[in-house]
Amino acid sequence: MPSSTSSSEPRALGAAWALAVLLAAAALFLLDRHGRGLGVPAGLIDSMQLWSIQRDRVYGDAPKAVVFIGASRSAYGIDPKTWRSLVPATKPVMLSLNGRHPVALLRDLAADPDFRGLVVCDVDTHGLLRRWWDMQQDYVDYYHRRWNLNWRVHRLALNAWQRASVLANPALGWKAGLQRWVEGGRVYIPVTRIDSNRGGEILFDRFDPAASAKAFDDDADRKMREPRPTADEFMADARQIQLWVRQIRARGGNVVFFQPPVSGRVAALEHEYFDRAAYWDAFAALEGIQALHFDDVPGMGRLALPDHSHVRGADRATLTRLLAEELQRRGWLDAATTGVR
Amino acid sequence: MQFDSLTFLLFFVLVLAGAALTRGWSARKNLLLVASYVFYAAWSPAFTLLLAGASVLDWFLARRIHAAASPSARRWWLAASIVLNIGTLALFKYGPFLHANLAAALAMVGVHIDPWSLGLVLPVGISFYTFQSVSYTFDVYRRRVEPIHSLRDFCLFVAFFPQLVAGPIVRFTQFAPQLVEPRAPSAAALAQGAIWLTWGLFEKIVLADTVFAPVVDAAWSNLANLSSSAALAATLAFAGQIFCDFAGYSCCAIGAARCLGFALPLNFRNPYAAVGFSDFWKRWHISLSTWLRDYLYIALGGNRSGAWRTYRNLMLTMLLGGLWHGAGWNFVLWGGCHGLLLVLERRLRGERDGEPRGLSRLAWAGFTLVAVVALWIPFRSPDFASTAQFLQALATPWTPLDFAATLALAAFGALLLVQWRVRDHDLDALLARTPRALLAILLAALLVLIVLSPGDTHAFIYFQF
Repeated sequence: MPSSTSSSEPRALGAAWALAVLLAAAALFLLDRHGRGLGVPAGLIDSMQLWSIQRDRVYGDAPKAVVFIGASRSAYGIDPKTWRSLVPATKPVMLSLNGRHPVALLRDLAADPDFRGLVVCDVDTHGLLRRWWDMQQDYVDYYHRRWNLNWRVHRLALNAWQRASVLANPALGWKAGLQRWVEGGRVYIPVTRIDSNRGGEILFDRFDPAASAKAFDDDADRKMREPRPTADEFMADARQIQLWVRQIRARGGNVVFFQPPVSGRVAALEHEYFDRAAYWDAFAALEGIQALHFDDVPGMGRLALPDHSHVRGADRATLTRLLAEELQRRGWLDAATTGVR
Repeated sequence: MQFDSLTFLLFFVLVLAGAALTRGWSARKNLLLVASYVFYAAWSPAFTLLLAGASVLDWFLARRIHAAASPSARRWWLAASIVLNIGTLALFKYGPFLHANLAAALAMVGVHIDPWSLGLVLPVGISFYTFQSVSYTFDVYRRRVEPIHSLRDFCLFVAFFPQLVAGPIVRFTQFAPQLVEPRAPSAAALAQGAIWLTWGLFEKIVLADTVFAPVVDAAWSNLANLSSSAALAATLAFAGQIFCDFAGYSCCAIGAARCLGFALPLNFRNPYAAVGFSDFWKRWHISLSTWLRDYLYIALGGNRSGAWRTYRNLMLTMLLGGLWHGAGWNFVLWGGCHGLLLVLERRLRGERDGEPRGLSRLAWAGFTLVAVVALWIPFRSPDFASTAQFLQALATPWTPLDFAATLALAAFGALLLVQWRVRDHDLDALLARTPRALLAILLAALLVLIVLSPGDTHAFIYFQF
């Protein structure tokens, strides 16, 4: 129950609050300036909520959704704004997730009776292996179990806060600051940038791309030392994926599997470890599967990949245009669209 | 809607402004009822129908109970209320659990039944508002209260948004007088309520989500490689997390209600400073433990029929209390162990009132803390196998703790010290003796820490109950 208060008590509490808000505002202002001085930029931070706002947009027939799913190569390689300008009768939706292969989301879209759009699925042979199928499942679960109007409004307000203040960045949180104070180390400066439509780019000027390329190469070499499923095992799993594609096609939607360009040992993972004819091409030959390999798209293999895995920000428009033109050339864009401009 | 969302901030500002500008008590109650349903609809608009249906039903049944001429008719109307309320709760919350156990039992005799296929989603807060609503019909049956005439007022009692989804479970006797006497936001109420809200958000966002949760999640998601030191840190971190998460929500609820001029009962009073298990349950989730005492334990006979009946009633109450927390055997185990500890305490200490003194007090306090913390392990684990795996990890070699685990341990230690230091005081009592300049500095620090904890927002743990 509320405690009893004297007549001066509300005024004293009000004064305490006024002073507290003033002190907090001053402290936060100074901390914001300090964070900017350390080189941390204000900007959006990707999250399940930002992703879920896009997940909500996959529905509807006019314009028809073109849903990009996959990992970082499409997340930081496909530019939704460029796509929209090239194929204006479609609605690009970016659902790719850095570091996560997309089969769980493909499975979810296949099970969604209201989804009738085009899925452009950025995935390589390695990413199709069954062991990676659940990598995006936590996002799918979040969307179906916890996403609601409350979090939608929250996230839209958070976007404004993240654009306005660097203090929204966890790297400048009190816990990260305390850890730096105790253990040493420098503040983490983000090396990617993302828009509210989840189109993003890698900022190669903020780190050493050669070191990153070596890390990707080493990771590819590690993967190539792991046991590989036989082509028969791979195709048995691929037929399950084929069933999900059929479900989407039966509702008037479509799926295109797309291998974005890679180089160095990352390319060797696809070219040497997996025999293309026995794996990727066999998958592409399944009835109803439409698959596109960067080797088969003129100009795509010539794009510069500073870290062997991702295009530069300036090349996102080119990659997006090459992809749209190739889909148009193959007749894989929906007939209802006006085609690529 | 969650208190730790920016959505709630916008919503609450609008509700406060609306309540302040609305003239007339009846119109203000209409506004609060609409706001409460909007608050609930932010999760799922469809389930507002369930909430409304349950409210209308209990309002009607309570009137029938009161109007019934014969005791048997009164019992029948009460039974209808219990069956419909608990039946709905059972369908949504325990349906898959009961079905899975029935299927397993039948499978042992060679009978196979189809898997549960209803795919029902658990409505948020159903356990809380069901208990609140049922307590009203019980109280009318026991002639402790007269049935309320206004359907609108009863619906507001059930759905009042600060306590709707995670308590405190408010009794009709506590809330009804507040529906009669007009109340509105005032400067004094706002200043006090905002302090409770800020403290609740600090407990939830800074302590539960930022300090404790990462250590807990890291441990329980990697049981196979857990060291004894990490398991111990995670156990204490979960003890800290579940307290700060739930007590934080309760503080926010009390604060939001107080801003609007309402008073909700205290739900936590420094539970880790308990001396004995009955003392713990007088301090932890007070509104649930008193509900279980008044409507289950006493209904079963309480301590009126000898020691063994008392022990049986304690065990049944705690087993069902455990099951209230979730449809799983791990919750039954947790409740059962607490029941056994209550029986053991009663056996050792008898009916003596008051706390033990001297070394005995220290021993009871230590034993209570260790047992309560240890029992959070099955509570947090999804199944018995995970519990066993976690307990095995406690016997593995000790490894150095990382920064997050060390911070969590330090925070839990600080939490214990503070709870012992202010053991018998609530926030109001502490506020009353804090100099205003110091209070301003503390509030500023809390606000800064809340803003500087920008992690992913977590659901309140108790929402799932």
